[in-house]
Amino acid sequence: MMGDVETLATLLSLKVAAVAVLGSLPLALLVATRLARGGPGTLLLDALVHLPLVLPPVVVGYLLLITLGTQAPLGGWLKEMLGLRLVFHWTGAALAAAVVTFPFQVRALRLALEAIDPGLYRAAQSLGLSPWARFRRVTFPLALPGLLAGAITAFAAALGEFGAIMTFAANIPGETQTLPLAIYSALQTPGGETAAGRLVALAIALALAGLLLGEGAARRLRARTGQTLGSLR
Amino acid sequence: MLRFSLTLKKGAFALRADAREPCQRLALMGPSGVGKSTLLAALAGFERQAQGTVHLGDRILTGGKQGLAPEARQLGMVFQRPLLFPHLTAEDNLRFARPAAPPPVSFEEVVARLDLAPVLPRRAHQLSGGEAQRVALGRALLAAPAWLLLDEPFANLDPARREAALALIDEVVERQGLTLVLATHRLEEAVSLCDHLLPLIEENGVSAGSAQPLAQALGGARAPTLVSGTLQEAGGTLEFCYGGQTLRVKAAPFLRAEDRAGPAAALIDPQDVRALAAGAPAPLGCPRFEGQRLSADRLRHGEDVFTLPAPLTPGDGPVAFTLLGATVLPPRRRDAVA
Repeated sequence: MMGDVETLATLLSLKVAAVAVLGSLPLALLVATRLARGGPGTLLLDALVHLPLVLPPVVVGYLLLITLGTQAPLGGWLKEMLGLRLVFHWTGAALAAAVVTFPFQVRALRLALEAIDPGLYRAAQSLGLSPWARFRRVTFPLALPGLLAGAITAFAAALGEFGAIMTFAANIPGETQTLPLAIYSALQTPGGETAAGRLVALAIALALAGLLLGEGAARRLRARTGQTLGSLR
Repeated sequence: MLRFSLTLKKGAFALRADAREPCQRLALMGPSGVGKSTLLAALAGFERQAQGTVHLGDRILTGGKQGLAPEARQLGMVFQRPLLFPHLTAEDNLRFARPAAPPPVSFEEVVARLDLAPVLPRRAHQLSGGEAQRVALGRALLAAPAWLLLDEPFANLDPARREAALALIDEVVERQGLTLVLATHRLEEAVSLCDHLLPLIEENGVSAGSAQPLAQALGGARAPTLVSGTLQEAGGTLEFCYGGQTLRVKAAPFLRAEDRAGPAAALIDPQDVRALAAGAPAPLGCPRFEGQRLSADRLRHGEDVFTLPAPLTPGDGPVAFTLLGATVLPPRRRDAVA
């Protein structure tokens, strides 16, 4: 049976990862579309998007803290105007996870968008479709396998995010203590190895389930369109 | 009715084409790479650098301050590639356009005439080249177009389905009064579907051409006669053997390699039929035929009937004549022209 700590940490991890992925999806789609289209500034934007992938997560957390912390101008404004406090709050954990896993989503989406034959847009246009209808009826369904693959990878990575959450949102049980943070705390507690073991098993099971589910769904979608089968990344 | 005058410059490629008189069925012809597809794309509004005017009926599609977007031009377009949507079945591709007006032909008729029933549940990647091309053609027809822009729509079809597709297009265009622009390098297709021809020819790095009535483009103002004979390649030039004699051949660049030898059909322009006075010799290098007179301006030779540019004097007996040249068609479409 799962104890309170495990249940809390598991549910919180799922919530944080889900919010992180779904919340950043629209922006990821926009950025990926812009990158796939090319044009001036693409290289710089691409580098910026990938920055969280190469920076230590602690640095990402720290950067978030100095921009969105309650003492920082932007963070202060958010708190004053919208009553939104991110630091030491689960939404902050979700934001940190979203920033760190953003490159996964953008990468997969961009590849999917670039794989779409541009001739199909012409065909859709010749059939009378407006730009929005083209996106809805051609771009989106064709990019869906990539979108799903990216979202699942990002979700799995968000479940495991440690450094950025720890730095920006801190390690508060029930609020910001996701699975990895709970494992860390358990290991810091004398005699906590058993608890840590259970948490580790949970983390592995969750990550594996997510990856398998995502791969399966992406494969089925790709098979429908005759696209080549590929791995998640 | 289509009228246009367009120029386009894209890197090293330059195009200048026009149809000054309104035409309803226009064939674009010319060798591969001369710019037929680009001209179609420009007419459809896909080439933003294109300058000039495109009028369809009384609507201005290109010209003035800004052109209409392709999606507002009421196109039915078949591209060089089928470009079917890979996430949809053949049936969903056919039903993809959701036109406000009823299409010129029903879904059921398209399926029956283009023999698409067996492929309806399949997805694009499960179709052969010919099947995909037929779906693409059906999809364009079901978009309720005001005009059809077809880029080599029969290239991958076997002869029987090609006939069927050709007949369907001909019928729909006729019935609905649609405007048709057909890019092809087969004169037989042009001759069987179109009444105007725009030959695109590249000269000094510019692809250029003007639409002309078909008969005029083929060399004369009156209907040509279709004759059967044999085609052979001799020393890099083509020769057409008719009635046991060899004729000069025109329009040979439109022929494909596999059509450059063997049984062939040719169009004889009235301008190229000359009656000869009894006993008079044929012009140098031209054959002499013994003909029979049918009427004042018609000559018969075997089964073939030739129109003469000017009436013969009444009372003339059997007449000898000469043929100055022939326009060779690939062998398969002779019936459509006859």
